[in-house]
Formats: sequence, structure tokens, C-alpha cells
Amino acid sequence: MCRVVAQETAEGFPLLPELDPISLSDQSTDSFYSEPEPLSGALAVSAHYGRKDYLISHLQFGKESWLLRAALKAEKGYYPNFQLRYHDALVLGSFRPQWAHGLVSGKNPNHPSLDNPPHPASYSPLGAGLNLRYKDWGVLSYLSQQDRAVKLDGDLIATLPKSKQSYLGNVTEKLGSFGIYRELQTLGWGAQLYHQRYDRAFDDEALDSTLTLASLYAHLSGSNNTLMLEYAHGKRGNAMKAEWDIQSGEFHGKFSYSRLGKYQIPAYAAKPLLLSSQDQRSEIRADMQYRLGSHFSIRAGTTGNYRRGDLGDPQWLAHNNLGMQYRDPNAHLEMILYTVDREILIPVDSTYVDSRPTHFRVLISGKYQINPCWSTEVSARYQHQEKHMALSSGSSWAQRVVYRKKRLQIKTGFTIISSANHKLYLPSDDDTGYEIYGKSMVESNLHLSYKFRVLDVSLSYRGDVMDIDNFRCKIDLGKRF
Amino acid sequence: MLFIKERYLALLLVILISPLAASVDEYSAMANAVIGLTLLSDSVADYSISPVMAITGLSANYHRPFNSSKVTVLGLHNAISRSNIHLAVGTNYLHHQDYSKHDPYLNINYHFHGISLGATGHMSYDAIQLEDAEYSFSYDLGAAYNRGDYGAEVKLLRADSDAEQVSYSMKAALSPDVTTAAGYVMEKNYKDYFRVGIIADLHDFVSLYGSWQNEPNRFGLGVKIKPDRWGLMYSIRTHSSLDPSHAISLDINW
Repeated sequence: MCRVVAQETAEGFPLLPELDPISLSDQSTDSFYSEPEPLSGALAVSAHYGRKDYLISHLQFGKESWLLRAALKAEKGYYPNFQLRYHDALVLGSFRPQWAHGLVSGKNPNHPSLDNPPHPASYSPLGAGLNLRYKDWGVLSYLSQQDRAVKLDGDLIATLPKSKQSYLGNVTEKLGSFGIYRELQTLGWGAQLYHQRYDRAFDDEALDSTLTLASLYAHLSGSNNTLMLEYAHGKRGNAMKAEWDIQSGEFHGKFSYSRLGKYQIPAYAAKPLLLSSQDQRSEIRADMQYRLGSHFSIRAGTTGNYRRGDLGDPQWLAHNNLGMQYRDPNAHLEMILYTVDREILIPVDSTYVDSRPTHFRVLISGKYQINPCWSTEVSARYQHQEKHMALSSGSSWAQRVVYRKKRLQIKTGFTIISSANHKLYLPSDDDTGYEIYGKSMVESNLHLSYKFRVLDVSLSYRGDVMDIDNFRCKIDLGKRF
Repeated sequence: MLFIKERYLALLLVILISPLAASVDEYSAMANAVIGLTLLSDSVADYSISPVMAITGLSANYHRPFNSSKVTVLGLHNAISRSNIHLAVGTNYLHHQDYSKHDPYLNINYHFHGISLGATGHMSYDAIQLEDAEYSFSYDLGAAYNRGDYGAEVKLLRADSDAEQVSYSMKAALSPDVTTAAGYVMEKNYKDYFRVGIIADLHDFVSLYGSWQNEPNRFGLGVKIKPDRWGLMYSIRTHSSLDPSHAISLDINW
């Protein structure tokens, strides 16, 4: 099964895993379902043993116009999901509705759709959906009902986790949506009415158990420019997002502005702001890329997030990137510098207690094809931040040698982690898409894969060379038919 | 009690390793054998102590300083070239149960008709386990001429750090199978010293290396088996007061 090891923004910068760790788990599932056509069917089973013991499997089976997708994760419990699809018009089971910029559901700026199920341990709408198209016109509608595990505070919902875990409480979730859209060559627009309801109230007074939203989007595409606008309106407040995408010669730029009022973010909406999960904030983003000749490109990006509401939230948050890339048929080298405001990471690490200044991340990665069979890969990362009392920093260095010949592939190398008092979130081939390291270690790794006629088999091992009991093994079996 | 004492002695040894090894860490098997005379080196690992290597390949090395079983040093190094420009990245990692040190670096050097000009940026990160970590940045600059039977090199290593070092070296081939080099090293916080080294190619596949330095008095010896573009090297380096250091490197050049 092909894994995505680092989430990327549309502009190509690898997104820091800390900024949106939940979405990383869906990327491995997406990569399985989005393998290039022709694809009538595929099966992948991955068994993990060592630090975490679990099994995860995905199946896709197509016949004529029908497509069945199913997945199962077995860890402490069993977490299945499935989807039955007829063309792209009718969907039964788990699905992910996508609509414009994702203020109401998932994000698909190209056209509204009902996408593949998420990672089996993640929640998504469960029910039936229609996406009917006639000439330029389309109708997208769905209904969903399911019981979700929740953390309760008395009889009220304290937390509504996005992943399936065992909690004492349950809540029944009901969703419904009806949308109409039109997609012309240069102009597209759509309108949607969305409703969600829970049979318990939230303990947070800002959240309603019943939510109704209306949303509108429009986009205009020219030869070099695309403009897009989405607006969503609810009883308490509204949200809007505008984006301008320009491609001219060797320059590519993307500029966006998002503004959330007292807006209750729906259950399966995309993360509307990169730097905050709070409402009553505005965010402006600019990402630019410029090609220098055939091999070099430079990229720069900045995101500023501004508070409009509660004084308890930080007023300004910022995230900046600067990157340089060299690429030719045999070599690839990339360096990226990130700066991140510390508050952004509070939700994933409560030990960040100070409010300023920013902290830095430096990423260096490279690949070199030595000859048709042999190649080498390097990936290094350095993180730096200052706390109240002391410096906290961490670094990692991964080096691999790769041998490929016909159906055989062998990868082996080391990863050196220096992280005495700092949590390092590193991209991983784990199904969560990332792994947290909190101590210094040297990890050896070996990956063997062979494509037999009837089955693709791969074996992976990762282990701390100083602590033989700290290891991870993985067996992947896959077949495409 | 004995166990605790042993751990503290080992930790003390680790902390003392850098000054004892002439301040700038020389971890590769090649550097161990020729006492840092990089004019004699064909190992990519030595980009960590020379910004003007001007070679390409891959190297992995293991170093056991002063034969201490408690301390492990691993190194991973890469270098590629595009036209006259060489780029190298690598790291050395020292591990002890209570202490770790990580020294990643990035090098760029320009090579033209035997003349090399280069610069390396280093980040040195060290941490006592479960305590606060420290980091520092330093850089290397160098210029070298190395062509045919003769070579000369001047290097400024770890500028802006306590380990700052300036060295001058020259190389000459005495015969097709024997090459020698000599150098003078000035350090910020320690006495200056001389060093000399020699390579003898015994066979197409086998070379012997020898070296000596004063202050402190140390000898280096190494053997390299190089059947093709890859080579395996073992070396040993003595010390006047401590046990000898051992190193093994696997090098691939392209």
C-alpha cells in the first residue's frame, strides 16, 4: 500500500504535522483509493507488531458501474467502514462530502463531490448521498445518522472526538444537506442548505446541538487566474473565505483571506483556518513560488491569523515559510525554514507555556540516484524554541540507501533522534501518518518489498539500536486486480 | 554504588573526549588513521573536518573513542556534484546513556582545475539526558590545491566556537605508490602541534595508512580494502594517557 509520509499544502510545502495531525491519518487511506486508473480492485492488509499492535486493511472492488470500498482497523476494538458507490451519482455507507472551500463540509475547490471513506478509525457521515449531474447542472444531497462516542460532562457533550475510541458516553448525530450547483467553463456557483443535530447538548454554551447553515460559493477561472469565494451563514454568525490563484510564466501565487464570526464549525468541515481552531478570527495567507531555470525553484509563504473575539485568545499568530528546491533527473535537494508562533502548538503540547517568541524549524531533504539500481535519501530536521527556563530543541537525521531492481526493493538506514526534552513530530509510515519522539535514540530500519505475480509483499522493521525491546515490525500484503 | 561510579566516570570521559581528540572531532576511520590530514583522504566522511574535499559519494562510520564500550559515535555523510559545485550533508552522533551529541553540517564547495574553495555550516547540539539541551553554530572555511602529485590546503575550522582551529597542510607523492603529507595546526585553547601522514598502496585493493602528531603524542594506523568504488576501512589511533580509539568506515565513491 502506497503511503503518504508528509502532508503537503497545495503550494507544495510539507505541512508541519503538529498543525493538523488528525488529517494525516486520512491521507494514507486516500492514497490507497486514489491509485491511478485502470483500477477495478485492490486489497491491502497491514499488520503492525511491537510498540503498537494493530491490523489495518483496505479493500476496493469494482464491477461495471458499481464500486465497493471497505476498511477495517483492529486494535483494542474493531473499527470498520464501507462504501457502495454507483458511478459517482449514488453513495451508500461512509462518505466524505466535499463542497468548495470546506466551510460546511470537506474541501474540493474544483467541484462538489462525495469522496471515498476516511481512515476506518475516523468518523465521517454514514448514510446515503446523491450527486446527480445533468449538463452543467448538479445536485448534491446526503443524509446521515450514527452514534458517536463522546466524552461527557454530566449529561452534556464535553468533547466530540474525530477518531473512534471507547468512551463511556454516546450521542446520536443526524446530518442532512441539499445543494445545487452549476459548473460552466469559466464560471461555477452553488448553494447549499445544511443541518446537523445531536441528541445531547454541549457543555460549551457557544455550541448548539442543532445547527442550520446556508452556504454559497462562486468561482471564476481564466487562463492564468482563478478567483473563488465561499460564504456560510448560521443563526449565530457567519464565515467567509476568498482565494485568488495566479499562474503566470514561472510564477505561481495563491492568496487567501478567511474570516470567521461567531461561527460554529460543522462536524465534518475542513479546518477553516490553518493556525487556529477558534472562531472569531481572521486569517490571511500568501504563498508564492518562482522557478529559476529548469532546476531551481524558490518558495515563500506567510500566514497571519488575527483575533476578533475573546480576549483570552492570542491576538496575532503567524507562520512563515521560506524554501529552496533543486531538482534534476538524478538529484533532488530541498531546504525549508519555518517559523511558527508558539500558541499554535498548545493544543498538541501543553508544555508550551510562554507566549513569545516564535520557534524555528529547519528541514533538509535530498535524494540522489547513484545508478539505475542504487539511490540514497537524506532527511534532516531541526526544531528550536525557548521556554521560560530553558532552551528546548530537537533534531532528527534519517539516512537511507535504496536498492531497486525489477520487482525487488530494499531500503535500509538509520534515523538519529536528538530530543532530550522536546517532542518531535516526525512523518511516519504508521497509519496515523506521524510519530512522536520524546527522547534521544538511534533507530535502524529495514524495508524489503517484492511484487510477486499474485501478491505484493513488504516487510518493515524499525528498532532502537540501544534498546532491543523498543521496535516495530510491519507486514504489508497488497494486490491490485 | 560501583555502577553509579562507573557511569559518572564514563560521562566524564565523554565530556573530555572533544579536547582530547584535538578539539575538532575526527571520527571517520580515515581521519583517525591520518590524524585529520584531509589532503590524504578520499572519504566523504571527512567533509565534517574539511570544507574543500571536492569528492562525491556516501560514507557511514562507527567510532569507539578511547575504547570505551559506553560511548558510541555514528556518522552518516553524503556528497554530490553538479558541474563544478559540490554539495555535502552529513552528521556525527555521539551517544552515551547519559549524554548525547549531534553535529549535522551542510557544505558547499567550488572545484576548478584542482583548486577548491569551500564553506561548511555546523550545528552542534548536545544534551545531558533528561536535562536541558544546548546548541551552537559554527562554520568552516577552506582553500586547497590538490592535483597530481602535489597539494596544499589551508582551513579554518569551527570558527566562532571554543574549538576554533586553523591548519596548514602540504602533500607530495614520493612514488606512484607512496604519498606523504605534513601539517601545522593552531588551536584557540590548546597548544599548536605538528602532524605527518603517509599512504602506501600495497596492492590495487589494499592501502596502509600511518600518521603521527606531537602535543599530545599520538600515532594513527589504518588499513583500507577498496575492491571497487566502495571501500572498507579500519583504523586505530593511540593516546599517551588513554586507551586507543578505533574506527570503521564504509565508503562508496561515485
